[in-house]
Amino acid sequence: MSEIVKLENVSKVFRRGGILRKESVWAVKNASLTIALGSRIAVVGESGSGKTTLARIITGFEKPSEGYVYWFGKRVDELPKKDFEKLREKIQYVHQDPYTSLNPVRTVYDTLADPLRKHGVDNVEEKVKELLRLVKITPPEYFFNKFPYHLSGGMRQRLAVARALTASPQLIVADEPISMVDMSLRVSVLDVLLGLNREVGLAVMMISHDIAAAYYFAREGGLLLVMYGGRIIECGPSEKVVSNPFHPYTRLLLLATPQHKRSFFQERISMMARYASAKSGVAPGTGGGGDACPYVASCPFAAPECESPIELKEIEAGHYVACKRVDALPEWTPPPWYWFASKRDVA
Amino acid sequence: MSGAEVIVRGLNAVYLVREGTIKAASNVTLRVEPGSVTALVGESGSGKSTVVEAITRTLPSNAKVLGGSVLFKGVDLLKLSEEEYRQFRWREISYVPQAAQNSLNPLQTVFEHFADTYADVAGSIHRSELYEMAAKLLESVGLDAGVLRAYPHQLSGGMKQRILIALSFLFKPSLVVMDEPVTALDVVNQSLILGLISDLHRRYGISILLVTHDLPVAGELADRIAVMYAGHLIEMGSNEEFFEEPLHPYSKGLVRSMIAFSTELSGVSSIPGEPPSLLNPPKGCPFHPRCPRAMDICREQEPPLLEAGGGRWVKCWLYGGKA
Amino acid sequence: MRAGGALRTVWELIRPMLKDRKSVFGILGVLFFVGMATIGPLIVPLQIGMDFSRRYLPPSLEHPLGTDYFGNDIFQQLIHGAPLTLGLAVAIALFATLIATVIGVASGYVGGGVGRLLDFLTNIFLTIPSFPAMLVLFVALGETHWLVAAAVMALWMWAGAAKSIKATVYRLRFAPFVEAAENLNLGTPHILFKEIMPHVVPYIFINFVSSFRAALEASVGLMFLGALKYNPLHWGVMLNLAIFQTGSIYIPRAIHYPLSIIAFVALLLFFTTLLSYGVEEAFRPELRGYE
Repeated sequence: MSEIVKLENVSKVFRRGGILRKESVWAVKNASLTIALGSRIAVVGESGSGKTTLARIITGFEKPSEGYVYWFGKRVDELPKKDFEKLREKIQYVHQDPYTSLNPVRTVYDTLADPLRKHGVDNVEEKVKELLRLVKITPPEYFFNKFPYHLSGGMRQRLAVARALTASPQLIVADEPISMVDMSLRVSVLDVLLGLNREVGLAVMMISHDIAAAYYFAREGGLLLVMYGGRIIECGPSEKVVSNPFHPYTRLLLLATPQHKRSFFQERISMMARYASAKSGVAPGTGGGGDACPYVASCPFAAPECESPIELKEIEAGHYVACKRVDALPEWTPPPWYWFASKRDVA
Repeated sequence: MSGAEVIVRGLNAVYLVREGTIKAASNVTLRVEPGSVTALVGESGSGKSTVVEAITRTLPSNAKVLGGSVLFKGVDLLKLSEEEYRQFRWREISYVPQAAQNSLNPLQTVFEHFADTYADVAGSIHRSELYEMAAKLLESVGLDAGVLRAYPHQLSGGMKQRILIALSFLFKPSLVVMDEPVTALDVVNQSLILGLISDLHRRYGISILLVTHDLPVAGELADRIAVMYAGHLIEMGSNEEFFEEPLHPYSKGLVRSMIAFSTELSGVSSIPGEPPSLLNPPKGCPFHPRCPRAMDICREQEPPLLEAGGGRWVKCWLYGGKA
Repeated sequence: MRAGGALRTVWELIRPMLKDRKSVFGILGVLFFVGMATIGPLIVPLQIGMDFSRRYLPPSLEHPLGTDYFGNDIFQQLIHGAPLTLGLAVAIALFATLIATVIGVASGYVGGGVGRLLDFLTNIFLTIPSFPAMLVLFVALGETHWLVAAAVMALWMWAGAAKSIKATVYRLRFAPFVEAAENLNLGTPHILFKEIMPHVVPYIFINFVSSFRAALEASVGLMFLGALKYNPLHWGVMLNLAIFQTGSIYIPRAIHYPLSIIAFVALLLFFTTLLSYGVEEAFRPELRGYE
């Protein structure tokens, strides 16, 4: 069984409202994806895109309203409670906020020792040291009786990853692992996740609103997924998606990401303007439940055919996009501030 | 409108808390040149908010300024009484605080916000006159005059931020202080607001002090970049020179940790170690525990702010200053 | 290791309270009364007799608070009444806190029907006015053993505490670190006792102290009205004797008799209230002003 998680046409609706008025919010619609052993995936989207709901469905914290979730080939909704609990350990969710995902009254040692003891590990102290070293919290002994509030955001996040590792999982889903971490410490968190993938062989999925961080994580062998309004609208090898994006939203996202050179600022803004409409910048509301393109309201290239159902279609090797207007978009060249702008043959 | 200069010299400020004294600003010296966009860059615990609070006189009640001056138009702002400072607030110096979208009163329309602010500063004005003024300001930030009749909850985050920027220009100040103006927005809106700030700066030539933890944002907008670490101002210089060759080891580490499409990502790395506690900062240079080039003197004495040629300043023993 | 841990927890509970003048004052005051209740009776003898020649003597060196209707020393009686008065209130507070903790934790952690039922129960006991209810109950029940009386009184004091405990447990039930514990299959007992309970303990502590205060008021009040089993040592009964049985409140020179009793009750309540504020501020930092 090389598939850890498989999602088959999964949708999730949240219903809100009182007696008279019921509101349905489709957080995720028609999502299908497979997470294989040892794979590396980055999911990019803004708040409201459904990325967190997708992550929580994958890790079993939410049940889909439609479609099926498979863990190691078995249907999750058909699992008896004991099996569900056993399999859930192998798929670990790491929360976004390291300030609330660690219990402030438990020490670093306890945080790791508790699950280790539960799994009947023999030399708990040794194993704790090993895990702390794996996530680069060294010297391990120094941190044994520290509490989370003694640690920086980056260190807390790494501790949360270490805690996830106590169950020897096959997949770690990290939800916005660096958004609450200082810039100078972000790479260390991402590198720990990368190390777990490349050296230990764990499958890691990273959720982010920052497409540059997603690219950093998924480059050289990883997959990049872009979500909008609850739907996966583009996916493919990281380098291909970033250097040759097909969906207008992906292009907008790439052009909207700040780069540090002042000389390119005006050009970036004017390039971005071509992909932004008057309605852009309004938070992407999650889709109304239909199968039409959720980006229609904000898309400057929208046309009548966008009201019909969209689906992901392969546009080049391994690169999929869900857009009916792909052919109507202007030609894309990597923006001049891309460090590899001169290298057109990266893909 | 034109831009004025602000010189912060030797600012020392602390916060008194239950656990002790937080040394939030230690001997901070920085200059905002007239008509420039100066980015004050720092991560959490760097003390940048404290500097801003000192300039805008919004320090909380448990803060104490132990020394230093903030010179603006020949006056030391720190020495003014609250009454005296009121002459400057909104008129000469305006402030767009962090997460400002939340500071809009949910019970008042946008127009009422303009009316209140005007009344606070300049007394009464004819309603229609103010309406015209407000409409023009909104137009300059890309909003329709109809927004004046809306309540905050009816507006998006981006729109609220534009309103606050418009408000900050009500009296055509010579210095606008913006604290993390785009952090709470989605990526598209961030860029649009940055574009707006750049436009307004070009049009009116005011001085802007932009406080941010986001280095790429500073890089895109600022003429000059000032970096703070653990309450100290450790480097100041022009934008391009800073990124071309950062002087301070912390600045080098910070630039190297940037994840953006404009840098080669195989070369990025984090700064090893952890930021220091401001309750008990290390002796000497605050960065020495993490510095790859720390020398004995760094562990003992705080380095002076040294001139490194061409308007660049750095607080580091590597660049001289030893007796 | 375990004992050290428990001691450290107690110290961690007490330390924040020592930082505020109010609560230090409250602690000292309450400790004084506790000392009075525990060591007092061992030091101060109780001489009860009937010597009308020594009736209503004013406070002096020999009789620090004067004498009562029967010529007996008031101070001695108060000291010997302290264990019962405080003891009864402590017993009530203990029962109340126990019930509040069990129901609060259960309704916060277990959702669904059980949770809603417990909520309903809590609300009933919250809305019925406690003092009149207790009064009616005790008059109907007649004389009962003091432990039973304590339990009955406790029934009217757990509801408020249960609500705040429930709120805390409910909030933490969905906290990210609890989700992480579920992800790791740490099991309900671990989650409840090792992850959630440490956050609830401060509330239990706060509620014990305020239950104690409420219990003191209620028990003194009920004893005063004669609704509970008669015991002349209890301060409430002493007050009843002073005011109703001997009419000393109408006699100017005897005013020290009821006044002393009232003063003791009032002082104890005062210190307990200060302690209660101190405990609350120590564990709920949002209530503190700027230091």
